[in-house]
Amino acid sequence: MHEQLAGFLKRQWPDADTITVENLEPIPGGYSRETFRFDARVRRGHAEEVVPLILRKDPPEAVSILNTSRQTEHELIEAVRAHTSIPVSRSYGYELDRERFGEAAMIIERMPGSGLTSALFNGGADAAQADSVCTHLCELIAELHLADVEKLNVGGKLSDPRNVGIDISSWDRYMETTYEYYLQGYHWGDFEPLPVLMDAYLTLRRAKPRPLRLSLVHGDFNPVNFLYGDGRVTALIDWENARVGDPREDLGWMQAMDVLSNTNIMGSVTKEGGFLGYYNKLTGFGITQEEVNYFCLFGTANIAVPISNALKRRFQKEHMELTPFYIIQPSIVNVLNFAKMLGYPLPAGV
Amino acid sequence: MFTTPSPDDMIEGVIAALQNEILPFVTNPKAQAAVLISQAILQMARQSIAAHDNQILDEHNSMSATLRAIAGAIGDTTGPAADAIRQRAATLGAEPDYAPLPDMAEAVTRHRALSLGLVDTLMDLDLLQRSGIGAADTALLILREHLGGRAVRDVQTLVVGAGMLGRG
Repeated sequence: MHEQLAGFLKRQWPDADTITVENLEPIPGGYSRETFRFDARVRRGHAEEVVPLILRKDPPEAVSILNTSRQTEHELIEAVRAHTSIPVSRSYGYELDRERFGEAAMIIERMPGSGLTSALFNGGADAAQADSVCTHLCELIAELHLADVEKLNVGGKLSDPRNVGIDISSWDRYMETTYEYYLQGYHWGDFEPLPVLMDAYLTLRRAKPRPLRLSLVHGDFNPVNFLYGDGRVTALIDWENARVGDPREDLGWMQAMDVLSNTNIMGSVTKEGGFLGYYNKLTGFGITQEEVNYFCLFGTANIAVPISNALKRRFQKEHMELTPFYIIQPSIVNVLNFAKMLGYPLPAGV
Repeated sequence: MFTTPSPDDMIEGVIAALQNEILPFVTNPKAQAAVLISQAILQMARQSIAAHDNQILDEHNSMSATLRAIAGAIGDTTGPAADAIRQRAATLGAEPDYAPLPDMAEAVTRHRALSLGLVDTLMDLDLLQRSGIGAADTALLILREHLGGRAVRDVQTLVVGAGMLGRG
């Protein structure tokens, strides 16, 4: 691995005399990509620098949850860097040839800041930073949603990155084709009859909200996908699920994951009536709490489809990886979250 | 059949061995996480085994009753979706209650068939709701009451740490 990484970087930095890879180790956590941290010691003439880097590598195709492209992610990251002020890791390139790293991969800058976001909440060590960090996070997602979609959607690759028939020619078509994807996707992932999921998908279609302009959405805007330090967000990370969509999807997904993660991103902004109020002031979108609740369900459905599909592949023994047995736990919790969001009659105290 | 050690004793033993005899010697962070995930899955299996048979029985009986109640709720509503709901109540919903549980393989097959019946019922109710038939709202509420109880019990029975290990 060390030699392959050094060789890759040498192709990116042909002016370097020597490149040595050091401190390579896997980063635990996350379900969709395999990530490794390492340092590149780069010598150019008499000058030497150490570049902190991350290798993001696809898992084997059989165990993959999201079949997304490292090339597309690279192009998006570079477009976000070029056209917004959102802090994002620079991408140093991608390798689609599986011979090099075993699977397709990309190498990105390792940004400064803490990823232990749970320390911001529940009396954690960084609780004093929660307001300012979450306020900055709100500003960043608002900036992303206001950004020019044409500039970020390089080559149109984020119009339907999962290749599931999404049509972004209008908001209405986007929603209709996404409902079709959910209902079709139910059958791709029915390792077990999952009536609550079917109820959620049908209810979403029956309760379509008001239209809003389509934006570039992060797609996995959740309490662990940013780094922070000194009261600011130092990086918005993990862009693999980014796509053109309804901006309310990011807010809804954050709300869903706030509950699941026992964090409080949405409740930690004191400015302008809280996270949603401040976001509305920045964007002018006038999004209501009811709409966030709708997209909480919509966004959860968006991730439930590929996860259920991945679980089904494992339980049909297409591969023998352990992780799906663990992922079933948040899936069980999410079924209850669906039930809550759909207003099911539930026992008191739930 | 030996009663000691029980299957639960054996799984508990493996969890303890992972903690005491393997984890201290694992230095790779990804492998450490895999050990912790394995422990959580084994604990989930212990909790699942303890509740499995009773819950299969209970849910079988409850699903049959729910299908009958939904058919009652849609009343004299006409059309193919309503006919399908009544037909389901007359077949899946007419199954006699289990008490005690029969052969487990058969029970699992019947449980799956009933759950699929609920999914099909949701699709039929969706058609009725989109046609503006108010009785379908009442019928959906009956189904949601059943499903909500199951969702709560699944979390209480099966979840160990919500699968969030290593995330922030």
